[in-house]
Amino acid sequence: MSGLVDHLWLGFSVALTLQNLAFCLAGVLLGTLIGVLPGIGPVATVAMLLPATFGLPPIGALIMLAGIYYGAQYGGSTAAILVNLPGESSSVVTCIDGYQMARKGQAGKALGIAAIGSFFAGCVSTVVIVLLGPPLGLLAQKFGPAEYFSLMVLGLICLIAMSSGSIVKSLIMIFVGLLLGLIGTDVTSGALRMTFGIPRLSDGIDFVPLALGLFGISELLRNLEQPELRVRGTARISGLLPTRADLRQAFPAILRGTGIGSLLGALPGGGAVLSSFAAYMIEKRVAKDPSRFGQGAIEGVAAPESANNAGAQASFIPMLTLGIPPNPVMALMIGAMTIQGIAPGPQIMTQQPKLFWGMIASMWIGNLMLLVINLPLVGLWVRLLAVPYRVLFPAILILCCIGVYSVNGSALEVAFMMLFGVIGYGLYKLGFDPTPLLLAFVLSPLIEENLRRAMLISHGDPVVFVSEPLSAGLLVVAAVVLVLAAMPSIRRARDETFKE
Amino acid sequence: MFRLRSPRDLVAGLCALLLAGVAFWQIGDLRVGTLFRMGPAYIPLVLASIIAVLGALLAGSAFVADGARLERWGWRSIAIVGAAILFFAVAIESLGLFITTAVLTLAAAFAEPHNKFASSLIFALAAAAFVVVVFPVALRVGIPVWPRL
Repeated sequence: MSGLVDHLWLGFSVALTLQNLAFCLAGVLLGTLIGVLPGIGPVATVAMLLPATFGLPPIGALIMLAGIYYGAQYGGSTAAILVNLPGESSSVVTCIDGYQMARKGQAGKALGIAAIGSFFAGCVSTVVIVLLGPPLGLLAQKFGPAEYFSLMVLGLICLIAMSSGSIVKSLIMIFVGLLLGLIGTDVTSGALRMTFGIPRLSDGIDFVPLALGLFGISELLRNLEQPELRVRGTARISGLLPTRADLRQAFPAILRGTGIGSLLGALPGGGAVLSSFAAYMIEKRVAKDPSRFGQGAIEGVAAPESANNAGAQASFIPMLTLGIPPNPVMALMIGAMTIQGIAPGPQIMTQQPKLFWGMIASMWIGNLMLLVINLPLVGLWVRLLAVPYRVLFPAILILCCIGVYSVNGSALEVAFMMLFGVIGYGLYKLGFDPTPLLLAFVLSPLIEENLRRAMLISHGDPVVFVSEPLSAGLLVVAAVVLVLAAMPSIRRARDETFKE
Repeated sequence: MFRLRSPRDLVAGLCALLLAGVAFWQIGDLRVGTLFRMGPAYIPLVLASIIAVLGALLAGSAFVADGARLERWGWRSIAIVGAAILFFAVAIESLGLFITTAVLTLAAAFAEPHNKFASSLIFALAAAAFVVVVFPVALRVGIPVWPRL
């Protein structure tokens, strides 16, 4: 236990330096600022602001990115409650009851309970990370190539189980992502693979143009297609603090939401979106009078908001301890680490304890900042909601272009971003979800390397994956998850969760 | 007879097959190797083969299970966004960040008929100045700001 206190002490001593506090504050503010804008989700927000952190020291950059992530989520919820425009998919359910509360003149209360719920969830999931991180990291350090390969297979299978739509399509996305990740020079033989004769591709496809294209540009293309969403008079906000009776009513929902979020967030493909949907469903089930939901039930705001924040935080667990990103934002964080020269993986905790614990401590501080700063600033965020898309659109475009260009100073990569943007748009039109593609892309070089090493060690005998107990266990879990995901009854229940 | 029940899945499956084809062509005659000592082509070949099989499955299922129709594509917005991004890619190195940003913002403003030229120009210059202050100056992102003479 004293080890934990020492770790937290170290973390806070890093996170509480003036410089890192400033990065955290800047991240939270910037994230909320962009996240509140209609039609920009957290993935696009983090991707666009990623280059803004390149010049910072590694710890500062990651603290700022984490702050941007929470800020963007919080901004999305604000937009959802006030104008019924979810800026991101994890606040879709918040719209249902949040907007109804706003229409009844309880916008302040809804925003207040969302902020309090998020903060509570943030505190709890920070503790969860502190408790779970070290044992998971230690376990992962015992992993050999076979175990690592099996772990990544499990991660990808979970992704299929969690994503919406057909299994075949999710599988195609995964294999395409794996294939794209192998473009470039083969590390072992030095041979160029699938580079189309383009010299720039000998280092592989860069992560930033891929992510910004698939999530930023394609979102832009979809938004341009829709008739402009005009925000007319927003609800007046008064009384941000919920009454004691409200708190008593919402507290069990906050607890349940936090639990669900912490659990689902750590799973690949889980994260904030699924957490908030599941939390809303459960509140509806356990409620004495389910008909209140959709009419402005305070639990209907408290539970999903707590869950999406807990889920967002919990998704740092596999990223920090195993080097496996459970959602696209974490894939971006891994990209940022690589750019900063930090190899992601279980060794971070022991080799970079300042970075690891500093980030965890800053998560808690970031959540506190959101609570303290954003409630008074609500008026400002509301005014941002009224910015018309024709003003936003060139701004987003330019931010994306600068973002890609600043990574390698390559104009060709800006053109790649455009290509991936059109591909992402096409994938959407054909019913594919690009999330598995991006995550598989990030994991692909690791998967290949570990598979090859495992095969070298075992002299080409694939039995090694099932004869090593740890690896076999992971593969068994993966098989069970895949079977469960394919079972018609479970698919139906899951699709209903997404449809709701 | 076979009846097409899901045009969207048919196209999706064919796209996957096409992609697998491109991958096979690009892998070319790289060394495959054995399971023990894998060559550079081993895993890409396996992946491309799986994509081909899955694509064929998906295309085949379009004749069995009902599914969605094809949606219309917004070619106009693709063309506008495409032109803007390509302009950035071409212009950034020769014209620099300030002019590129100003021109892009101005062009986007013209897409909207009601905007007045003077106010659009001021907005474009302000946007360009803002971007220059934030990225190359404050955050020290390495981007050329002014035209190279």
